[in-house]
Amino acid sequence: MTETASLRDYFLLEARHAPRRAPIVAALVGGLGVLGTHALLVRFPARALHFLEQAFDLRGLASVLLINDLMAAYFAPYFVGLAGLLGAIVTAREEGQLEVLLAKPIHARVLLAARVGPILGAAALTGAAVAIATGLSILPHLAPGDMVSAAGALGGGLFLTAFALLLLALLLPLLVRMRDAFHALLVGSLVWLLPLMPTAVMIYRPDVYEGSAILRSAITLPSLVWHDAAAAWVGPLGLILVAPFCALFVRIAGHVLERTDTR
Amino acid sequence: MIRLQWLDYLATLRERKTWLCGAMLLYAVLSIPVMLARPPAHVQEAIAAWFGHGGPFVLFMYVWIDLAMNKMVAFLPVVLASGIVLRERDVGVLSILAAKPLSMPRYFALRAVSACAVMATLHVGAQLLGLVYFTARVPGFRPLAFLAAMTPHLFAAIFATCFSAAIAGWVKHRGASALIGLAVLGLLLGLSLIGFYQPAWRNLTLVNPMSLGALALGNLDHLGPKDLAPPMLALSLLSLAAIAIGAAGVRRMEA
Repeated sequence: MTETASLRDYFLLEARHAPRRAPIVAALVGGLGVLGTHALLVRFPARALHFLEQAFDLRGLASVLLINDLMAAYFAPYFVGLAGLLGAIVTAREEGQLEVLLAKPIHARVLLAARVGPILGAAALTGAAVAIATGLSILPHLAPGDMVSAAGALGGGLFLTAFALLLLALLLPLLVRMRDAFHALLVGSLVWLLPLMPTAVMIYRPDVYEGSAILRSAITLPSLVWHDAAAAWVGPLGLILVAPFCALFVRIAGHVLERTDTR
Repeated sequence: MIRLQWLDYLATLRERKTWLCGAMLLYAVLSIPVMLARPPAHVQEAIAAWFGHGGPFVLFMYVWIDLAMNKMVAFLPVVLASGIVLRERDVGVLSILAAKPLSMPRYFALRAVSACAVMATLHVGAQLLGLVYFTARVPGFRPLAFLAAMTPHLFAAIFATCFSAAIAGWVKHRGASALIGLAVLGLLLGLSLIGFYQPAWRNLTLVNPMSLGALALGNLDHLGPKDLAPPMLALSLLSLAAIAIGAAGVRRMEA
């Protein structure tokens, strides 16, 4: 009982020390970014908007706005989470704190769970806030017969938040072995960029996807816009389902940390 | 001081993150010709409309700057420069450095110049490698116009590095410094070509330093010193100002 109580206290203590300002600022900046992008794009010449429609196989202004908004819902939670994880794990090792912390009667996996949980939770809230801003801000631009809806926009934003959390969780076993925060930041940035490459290929080499519509839908970002009705429920479901995956990878990373020299 | 600068440059060049940056640039060089093997008609039409003239070389330069080099400049300067001096403070080395006859602003300037030199080495290396590879792989490739167009972009990359260092000098927290650097540089680079998409905003976008780095895209056929010198001069002055601002920020930093 005593041990359970002390562990709960420890989890609460770590949660209290988790970064708070960065997720709040990122959510605000992400929301303002969405509104700013709308203000710019609606003033673009029709030719430039038509190019985006052709490049991403879209129809209507709302869908063009949404494809840009979704980037904010992918960027904000990922980099807020990554910065938090670097501070909690890699920087702590660089500064010699991790070695001291692990000298206490506490398992590496418990320490990792207590530190990482609040960071991933804050990243999820940041992404959810940007997704809500996306869903609400798309409303004035919707026209009858549009391929997108506010619910689909919200769902798309939540799906990308869940995807960002999944990438962060997958990175964890790697981060617990790293000793340079800026090397880790570069690796993290690379992991963020890689899933966007199939979308870039779609703009300049659409022939690559000829005859493989399923592959195109599975790996490109505009898929969330094409499948608006599905995005409305897949997004929230994804955010729920990603939680056990994150827990699993925190556990795996904990085992890796236990077997790693923390100096 | 010059000896110390040289040694610091070499040490930064040898870091693992610098090698990874180099690998990313190598991947960009190798992948762009593949990306441009069969451009769709709507892309070619859009490029011709935005830049006043089409053709494979203009399309190549647009993709090289927008898809490859601008993305690199959004990340690499932050990785190279947004932790300078802060890392030394956090790992407890700053108190040792503070005992040396080198003031904190001068040490900051030294580290920032090293980061800029490494960024410049990576940038120039990628262009020179590209010069050889693209000549063989890209139809209609014009080596001299390519080098001329990428020169202001090099100055933009150096400014981005100085800017990331200046953020570190004032924010004084590595995580926040990196986040702010990524967000601001991402925004500036995202808006850097907007003057080509919306000609009515062309003059307004010149306040964006990253737009100055890509100005050559609008005049690839007649690039001369009159087109290249003003953005390079402006970016050099901005870089010096960024280092001075960052150095002022670390003046009162405690070891």
